Amino acid sequence: MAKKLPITNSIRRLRFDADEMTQQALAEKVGVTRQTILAIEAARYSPTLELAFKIAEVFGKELGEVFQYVPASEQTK
Amino acid sequence: MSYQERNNWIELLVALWAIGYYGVTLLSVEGGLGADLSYFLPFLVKVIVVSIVLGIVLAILNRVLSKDANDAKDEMDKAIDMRGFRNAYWVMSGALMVVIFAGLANERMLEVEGAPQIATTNLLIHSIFMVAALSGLVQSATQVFYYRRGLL
Repeated sequence: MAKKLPITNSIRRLRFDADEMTQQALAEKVGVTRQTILAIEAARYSPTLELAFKIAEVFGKELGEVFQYVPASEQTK
Repeated sequence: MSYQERNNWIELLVALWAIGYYGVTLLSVEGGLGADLSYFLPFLVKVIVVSIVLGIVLAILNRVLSKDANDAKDEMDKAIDMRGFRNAYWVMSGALMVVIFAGLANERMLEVEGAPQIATTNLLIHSIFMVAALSGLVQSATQVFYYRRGLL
């Protein structure tokens, strides 16, 4: 199984809920490339705190509603 | 694949070409490491110039053909760059130490009868080029690896 970060996120669902916002549109709003959004969604990259706040701000959510910490011990359950 | 990742692939391929072409020539020339530097110095300059020109041409092509061409690097690009530089630094530091000791050992070997006789200048010139090319290769390979796998 591919290794994943202990931080998961709800960006894909939030994009869908936000009128099916594209990854490119989100990337442009927060000032990164589409590949970075793709990597964050796939839990292959943990954004900096600043970028995490920017993403949450785009969706009008609190940080904890967008990113969740899942300890490694719970990931295998 | 992003514009920045394609640039890393270009750097990787150019470094592979330079090391491959230089290495094959070194092995195929009569005398190998000990071959006359009057042949190898112009060849070395040629490899460096062709590598730079090839890298620039491919980078321009990438820029012209990429819809997402953007020289500004975002935070993930910068984090990946840092890992590439870190690995290249370790390779360069380690390899330079080996080159220094190889040069010193070679000086001793020149005094030993029957041992292979390779001028230390030859050894150092070939080694320094290889160290520089190898560290560039490691940097690009590291960056490509992290773009593919992600920063876990």
